[in-house]
Amino acid sequence: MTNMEREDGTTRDELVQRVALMEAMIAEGRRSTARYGWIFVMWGLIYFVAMAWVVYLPLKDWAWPVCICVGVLVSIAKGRRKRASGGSETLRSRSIEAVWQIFSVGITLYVIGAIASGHGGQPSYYAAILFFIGVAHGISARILRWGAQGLAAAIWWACGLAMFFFTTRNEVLAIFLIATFFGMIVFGLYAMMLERRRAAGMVQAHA
Amino acid sequence: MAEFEQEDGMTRDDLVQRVALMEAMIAEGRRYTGRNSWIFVLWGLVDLTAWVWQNYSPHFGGRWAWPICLTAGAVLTLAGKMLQKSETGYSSNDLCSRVMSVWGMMGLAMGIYVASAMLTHFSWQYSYIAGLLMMLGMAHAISAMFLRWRCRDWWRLSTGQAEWRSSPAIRGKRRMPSCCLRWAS
Repeated sequence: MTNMEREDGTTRDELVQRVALMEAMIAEGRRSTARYGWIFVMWGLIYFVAMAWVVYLPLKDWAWPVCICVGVLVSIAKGRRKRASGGSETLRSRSIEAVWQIFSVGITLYVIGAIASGHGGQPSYYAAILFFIGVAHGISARILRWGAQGLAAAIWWACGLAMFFFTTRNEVLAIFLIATFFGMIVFGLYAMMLERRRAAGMVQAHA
Repeated sequence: MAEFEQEDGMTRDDLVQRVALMEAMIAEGRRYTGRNSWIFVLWGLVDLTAWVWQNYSPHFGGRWAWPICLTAGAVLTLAGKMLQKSETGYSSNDLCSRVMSVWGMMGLAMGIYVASAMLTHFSWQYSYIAGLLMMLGMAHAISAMFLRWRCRDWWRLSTGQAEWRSSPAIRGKRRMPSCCLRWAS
């Protein structure tokens, strides 16, 4: 094909360059999410620990606040260490970071408000939390054009939907565990596996 | 200022070009939001209409007010977007598509959330309305961060908090959480 020129003066080469740049940014965004796959696994495990504490241990009221605080502190500490060790950042990976930061602020405000006002046990409260996590996964998936994360979002939304129909304590617990296992832990492990495979590929290429 | 070269071989001109490109993308993203601001107005009117219908004309199919108005809102939004896209001169860049991803996903999640709450008759709960406001607040805040647009608005997040404060458990008995409905619209 010859080098054509569009009405706005953009040549074919420029368009090809732009597409290549966008593809590179999407790939870098996915790699960035994969590098943080451990966060999904960690939060999945924190949810499991908090629920086990609520069911089997004393001082149940402290289970979620303690576990969430530990999770936030570990995330901040490990995130800072990773950033200090150096890692490339693109506009897209910063967008993903912004999505999860806002989501964290929103869900914290929501949970604090619900607990402080005594509305923490309503079915729509549990459903809303699952929908929030699903929205964050869904936005990331759309931005990165990543089907696996889209599947994680669908799992959270399906479980959020189920929260309205199954409202007994055991049912709520089971739905939350299913969503956490498949939407957090399995997705996080998958992301970590991708990152490990990519790192191994880079080592082979250098060798 | 003298021409300098960084360790990664990027010159000052390269950096200036990149910054200019990013600023152009952000400006285009804001213009895109401005072009789509009719959607905010539309949904404000949809919420207001449904609320007025439910509360002031409950005998004229008041229980169908929200389902009908929300469906009409969704249809009008889709029709308007299609019309807008068919017009000449419609353009969007990467940042615009990211903002659209935020609102698209929020709309999809909210649609499922609202429909399931209405089907199971849980839409009267305070946590349901607070959840809606929080979702809207999050979408606004994420868009604001993408577009570096401060006036769009952290207040939406705080309206979710206001919803809890308006509940009977906190502030005596009230029939409807009107403050949040007013803010939502």
